Amino acid sequence: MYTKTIFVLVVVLAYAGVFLVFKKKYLSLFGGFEYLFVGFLISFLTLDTAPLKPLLYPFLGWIGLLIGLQLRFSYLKGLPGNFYLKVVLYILLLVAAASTALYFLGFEESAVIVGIALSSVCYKTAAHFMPSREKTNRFALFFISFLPFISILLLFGFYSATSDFTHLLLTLSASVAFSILLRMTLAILDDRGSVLLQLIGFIILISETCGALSISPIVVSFFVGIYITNFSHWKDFIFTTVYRDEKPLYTLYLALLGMVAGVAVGKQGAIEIVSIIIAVVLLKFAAFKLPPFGLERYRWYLFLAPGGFSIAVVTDYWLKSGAQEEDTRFSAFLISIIVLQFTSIFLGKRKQGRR
Amino acid sequence: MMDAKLLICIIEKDEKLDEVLEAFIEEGLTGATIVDVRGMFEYLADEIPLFAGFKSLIEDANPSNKMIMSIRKDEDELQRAMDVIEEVCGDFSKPNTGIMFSLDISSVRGLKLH
Repeated sequence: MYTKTIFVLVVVLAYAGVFLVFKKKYLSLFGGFEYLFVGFLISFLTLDTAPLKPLLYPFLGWIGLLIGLQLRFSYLKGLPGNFYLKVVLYILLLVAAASTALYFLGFEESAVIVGIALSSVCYKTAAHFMPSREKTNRFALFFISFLPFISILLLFGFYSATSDFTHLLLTLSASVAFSILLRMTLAILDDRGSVLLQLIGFIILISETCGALSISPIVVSFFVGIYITNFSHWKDFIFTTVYRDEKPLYTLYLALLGMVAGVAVGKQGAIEIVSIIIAVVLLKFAAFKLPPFGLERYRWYLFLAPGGFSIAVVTDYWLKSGAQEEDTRFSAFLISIIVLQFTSIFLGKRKQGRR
Repeated sequence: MMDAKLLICIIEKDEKLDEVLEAFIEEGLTGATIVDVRGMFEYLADEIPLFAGFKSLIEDANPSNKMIMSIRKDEDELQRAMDVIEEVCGDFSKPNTGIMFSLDISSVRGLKLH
């Protein structure tokens, strides 16, 4: 009862406080990660947070769906061919370098997952300091916004390569089945209220099914999102619905994650935090100096923060793995992301203040 | 003095646009221009997304409403067009349906009205 009461308070806090963190012309120094701190603080109370763990799956499903819904094939024609080449090359190089570095630091299998996560860039942080209406910034912003598509495909590839054939079969079957089922049921609805209800139900159904089958809710709902955005006439309304409450749902997700994951950083965790931060700083700095990507003219530190998407990727793995030793590693990862986010926003604000 | 009217209609449910245009054709009301528009509230509320950066860049912000501009030759045809729109989109006196109004046209070039 006590845990439930605290959870309800967290929900209220997430919805009520979101406007303090995200404003149109203001970005807080932690860019929303204040809610992770809130969760961490609550985790110090003696609560049984295990029953809350399954609640994380729908948030991952929602993030996967939101990303998949943006991948409309007609949009892709507008971008030049070498853009895709640059993005794919960038992410592959960064994931390979980061994974190798993390593997030798003792991350073993999770090195690739953390590598995928760290290669992404927080769109909100970058776009806050590089307005999209300035033409010169649009290449960099397109570059950043495209990274999650490749990251999820890499995640799918990694899970398929490291699991048995059943895992691949289940992921593909669930993606196809949910896509067709959702489209078919949407086709018979003709009012927005019913579509909204159905959408909420489907996000929960997809995510919890994935949780029960130990497959990735991000990957499955990403594929469902791609199918819906390309083949359903409700695509625009569904996107608007999924996108509309992005910020309160994000803050709620962070607070819940903080509560459930807690902070467990010992000496080993502290070493991992420092290692992750150094690896990301060096690799992203190097990537910006490499001419093939065409990113030299942008401020590299704005690309430093991997953002909320990276946390979702690692949460997905953390829930799937269930291994005890991953708990401390996950804490170390979360703290590293917070530090990187803070650094990126702080440097951006400092530069802005100087002008 | 011409009898021609300019009908301006902004519909909030953009998925109804195809139906409106098809109904126009069925009624013999040809000729309309469609423009993507954003309401004042939408524009002010526009914020940088967390996960939807790609779509916001492609569409340059939030989903837009649709504005139909159509020149009608007289008052009768204008009223017919308005009725068709309401039949498809619903009663415009209800909130979140849209707005429509008309203006008198003093002169036209590039269009045959009879």
